[in-house]
Amino acid sequence: MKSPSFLYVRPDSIESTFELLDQYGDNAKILAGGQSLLPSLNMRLSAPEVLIDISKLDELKQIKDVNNELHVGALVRHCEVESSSLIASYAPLLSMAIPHVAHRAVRSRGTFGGSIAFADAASETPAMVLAHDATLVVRSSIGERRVTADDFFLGLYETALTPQEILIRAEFKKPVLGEKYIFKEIARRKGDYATVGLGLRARFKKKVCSEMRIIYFAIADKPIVSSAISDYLIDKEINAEFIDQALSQIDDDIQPFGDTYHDELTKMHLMRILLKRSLIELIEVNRDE
Amino acid sequence: MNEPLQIINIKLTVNGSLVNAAVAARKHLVDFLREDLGLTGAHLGCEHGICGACTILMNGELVRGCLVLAAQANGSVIETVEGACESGRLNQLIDAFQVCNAAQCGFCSPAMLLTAGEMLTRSDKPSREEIREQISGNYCRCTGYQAIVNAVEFCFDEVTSNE
Amino acid sequence: MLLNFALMKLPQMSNKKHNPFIEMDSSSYIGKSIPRKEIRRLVAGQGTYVDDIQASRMAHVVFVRSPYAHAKILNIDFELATSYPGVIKIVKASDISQYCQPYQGLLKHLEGMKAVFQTPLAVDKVYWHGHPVIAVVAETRAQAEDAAELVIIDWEELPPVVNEEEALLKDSPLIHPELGSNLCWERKIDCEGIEEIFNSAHTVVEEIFTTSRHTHVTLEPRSILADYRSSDNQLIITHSTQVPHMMHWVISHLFSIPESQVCIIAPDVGGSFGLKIHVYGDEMTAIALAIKLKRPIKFIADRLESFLSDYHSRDHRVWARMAFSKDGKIQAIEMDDLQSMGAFTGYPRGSINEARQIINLVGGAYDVPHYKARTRVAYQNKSMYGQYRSVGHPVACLVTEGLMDRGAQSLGIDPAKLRQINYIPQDSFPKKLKYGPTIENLSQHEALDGLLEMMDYLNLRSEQKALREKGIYRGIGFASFLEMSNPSSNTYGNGGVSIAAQDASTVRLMPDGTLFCTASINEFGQGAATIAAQIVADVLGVTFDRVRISLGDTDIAPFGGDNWGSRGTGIGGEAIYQTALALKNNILDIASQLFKLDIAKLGIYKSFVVELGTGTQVISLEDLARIVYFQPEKYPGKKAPELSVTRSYSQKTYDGICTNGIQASYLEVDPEIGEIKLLKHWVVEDCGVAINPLLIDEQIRGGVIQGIGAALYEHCIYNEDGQLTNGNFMDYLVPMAFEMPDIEIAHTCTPTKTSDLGAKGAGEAGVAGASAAVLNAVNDALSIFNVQLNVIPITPQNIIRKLYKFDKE
Repeated sequence: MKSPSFLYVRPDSIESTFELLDQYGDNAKILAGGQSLLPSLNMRLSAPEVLIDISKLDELKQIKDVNNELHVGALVRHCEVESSSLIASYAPLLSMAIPHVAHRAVRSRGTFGGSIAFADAASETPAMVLAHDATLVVRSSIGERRVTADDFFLGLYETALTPQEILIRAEFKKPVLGEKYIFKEIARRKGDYATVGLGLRARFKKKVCSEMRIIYFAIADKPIVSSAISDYLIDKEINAEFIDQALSQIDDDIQPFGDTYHDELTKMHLMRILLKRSLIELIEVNRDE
Repeated sequence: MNEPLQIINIKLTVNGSLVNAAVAARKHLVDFLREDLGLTGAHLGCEHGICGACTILMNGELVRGCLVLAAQANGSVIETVEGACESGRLNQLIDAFQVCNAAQCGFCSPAMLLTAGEMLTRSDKPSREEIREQISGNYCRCTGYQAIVNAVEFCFDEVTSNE
Repeated sequence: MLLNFALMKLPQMSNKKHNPFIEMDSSSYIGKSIPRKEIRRLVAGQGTYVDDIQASRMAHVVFVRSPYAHAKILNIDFELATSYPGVIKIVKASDISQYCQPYQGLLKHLEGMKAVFQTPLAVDKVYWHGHPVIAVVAETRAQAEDAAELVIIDWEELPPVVNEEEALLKDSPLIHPELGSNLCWERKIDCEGIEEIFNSAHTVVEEIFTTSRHTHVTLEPRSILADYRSSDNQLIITHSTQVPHMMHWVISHLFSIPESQVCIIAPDVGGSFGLKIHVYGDEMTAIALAIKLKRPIKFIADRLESFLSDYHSRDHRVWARMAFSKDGKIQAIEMDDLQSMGAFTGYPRGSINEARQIINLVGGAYDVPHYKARTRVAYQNKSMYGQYRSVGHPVACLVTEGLMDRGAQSLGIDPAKLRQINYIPQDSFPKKLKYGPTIENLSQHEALDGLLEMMDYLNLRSEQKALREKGIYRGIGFASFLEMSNPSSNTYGNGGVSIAAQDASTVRLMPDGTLFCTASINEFGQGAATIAAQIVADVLGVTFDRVRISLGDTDIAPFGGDNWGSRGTGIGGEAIYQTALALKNNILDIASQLFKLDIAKLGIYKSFVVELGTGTQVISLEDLARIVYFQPEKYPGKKAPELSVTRSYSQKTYDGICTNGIQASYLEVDPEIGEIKLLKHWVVEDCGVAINPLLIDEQIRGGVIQGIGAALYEHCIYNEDGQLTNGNFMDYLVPMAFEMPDIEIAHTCTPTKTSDLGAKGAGEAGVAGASAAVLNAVNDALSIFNVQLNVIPITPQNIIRKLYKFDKE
């Protein structure tokens, strides 16, 4: 399975990157880590005319605290996310999720931004970026835009990026003290894409839930923000009875897609169980404080 | 499709030697190593990044060679199983593979050796679960994995018994 | 007595020395866990697999394959493709028909078997998704793939036959109208009065088991490099194959080139397990192209085309029932097996040996007074189908052992006890199964006792019970199995199929006293070369490092049966043993003549002919060889001494030599999410005399993991249009290290009396019982919920659907 031919370019600067994007539009694909793009080329599932290797753009490789916000550059590799203490404190769900991404040899090449821009619905990084309400900064020759994570993921492999834009970075607000985080995923084997997964952030005032954000992934065409269940749980003291009531509303939160081994009903069942276990764990975590 | 073939000039270090080459843009790193440099230790098992048979070291890190274009490797430092063995740093693990029968057909073995070899720098003995996790991205059809886990453990036991 | 060849007993090694062999006691090697020499070379990347070989003027071939399961080829246009840069030639079926004859996979001694001829490339119809139609030859693989995309084929889709039950109905479309039906083969075993036995039995359990189609997934894909020397009419094929001698015969006859002009070389082979014993149209096309174009042609199946075009296996639906008396004795077994195969029978081995084994072996481990069975094999518009490690045994075992566990549950008898009650009594061997093979001797009771002790069975049951009360569900599953090995000519030869039932070996004493041995068995990771060297070194009294083995080259090795059906050690090893003994005898005879000593008082030890008893050295092997080769006038005997000896061996006493084993799986099920965690696995196996316990144990482990793969993960999924939908590593799941258990192994030993070595086969034992053990363990874990799973692979969805009723359904 050899890749079809393409024109390979490796721009020195962001400006020349934009020139290329303006010139080629959607005949070009950005080559970052290549861990999703190159398999698809090798399997001849796609045949872009041009590959723009952006690995020289060092300004996209940084993880830094800027005015109490965390900026994570698009070219930061998964292995760097994994070992970053800044990310562990600003975006704990991302830290918790990263060990589940593929295997070591893939994490050494695959990038944070590549995963976000590829927007595979079963992928952990887009989902946790959404879970943390991050802001995506995208840029083209025309200028820079800021897109909330809520507005960024549009569908299967579909994002708000235009063909002329590249993702520059994601920005995470400093988390509120006392926020709790639960990440769970079910996968057939270690490193596989999730069968179902979720990331959860919650805040409590004493025992009462004051904020709840749940992101479901690997169950639809993109990561899903919970509405019905999170709304239900807010302003309640979470206990077993409320959990069951909350779970009964899962159909209002998700329109599921099946996969090769799990149909929609199985997916929903698994997500319901995953959420139940997450909420039970949340109670434990909250109790311990 | 009918465009003239694009050739990229690359300069990289492979197993300690500087290499200058001209490669087709689409050629991946493992094909380059195997065909252009005759380093056939890295194998192709799937070319979609899952089986791990193509695993090599790039800038000191494990990578899937089939998911790196040779062009992308410009300026990098590559170590294949040939170079790693030449360096001697894996001698103990090679002995252990032999004693434990951790290879049968051998097709996954160079990649397994490099992947498992990354654990040898640890000071503490890894658990069997940790060893399994380390090689969890390398497919083997022959051994059932247990002998490979044994081989890594054997290295750490050897060290303690030699002390 | 249980023999436990634990890893701890291996020789200790120092860091500095890299040659373990010098340190070993060099007096005997048979029965020792000698490490394989070639591992050092293989792990260091110095293996030579077909794709590592470059030949001068070598070109690459790529195939345009059918996207449909069943279609007419209306028109082919490769004009545009032909002009693509780097393209050398593009061919269709008629362009190579003058080189390669059509072939028919038919076992003539199987009554009623129906098969048609096939050609390497499809002619005017395609019969399966992936059926090769056009071959594109180019300077590089990448160029060939580019050009292949430019080939235009017009198709007319035809209704595909993709359901094995519907395929056998009267009104089903026929895949091969000339055969009159889609039934390839059927065998019935009748049993008068069995209905009455079932009606009056104390307990009857019944189930429909489904084992899903899956495939070998060797890490090295199918690979061939064909070279034709036109001036000599010589074909040299470097082939990743398990069976060079079979290929030798096949290729010679298909291509009408005398056998003496054909040479097959198997270099390092990256796994086979039965995959690389079949004839593939794409590989035959590569050979035809080498002849046509007079340049070396390389074909490497990539991973996508591997899933699509490798032979598939183990696709069965088996209805079965078992009748028990009140005290748990099996009264009768009845079963009806339906195998779903491919669109053509495999050549030359047919595609029905699985069904043949299953009908022979269901219930085989037990004393079964009444047995009624039917097996049918249905043609399908799907990939070619054939042997995969342990052919048929895993299915027979799954059915039998699944019924046993259901019986145990119904009767309230412990499952281990139920097996014990029903094993063939130890004093009844040799035993002819009513409609199956004759079993020479087994050690089932001993194996089971050993297993229960090894597992600490009673404690496991207590642990299981205690955890169940805490909502943790663990299960224990047993699987007793028989495994046929060392087959006779009844498998193939008697059916007119040119697959040898004998093996031969040549051992030669070199002038420097080292030994060179070649044999008709092959190495593909299982350790054949090591076993051979052990036997030679042991018999000829030299250290292990003074023996070299050459396997896999048909120019060098004598003709023989190759490796399949676990015959390598039992038959090949015996041939090597007999050869070594004959050479030893020649050497001792030469020494006795040279020194006027009684041959009966001589032996060989550490490369010297010695006087037995005193150990006095008489002459070194080197000096003896030098006399024979360089100064033959010094030898007084009349007949010229012979230092290169060839002997052969075949097993003719039984259809096959039966081995036995038992496996157990201990696992935990999370019923809410259908997740299975494998905690431990045990195997007690009897392969007769163990030549190299380390190698045997690792073969078993590899096999167990394959069986676990079948139980939990592997499935070639076809849609209703007959297309393979999951032919890649993301969607076809294989066992990886993190999820797999440690496997503890022990052995019982019942040597076969049919050979001097007494070795039975062991290569397939691991796969034979593993799937059954896991399925039984899952059912044991879930028994409290009153559900029984009957399909493998056991997916989370399977479990969840049994346990939960969803409102929406």
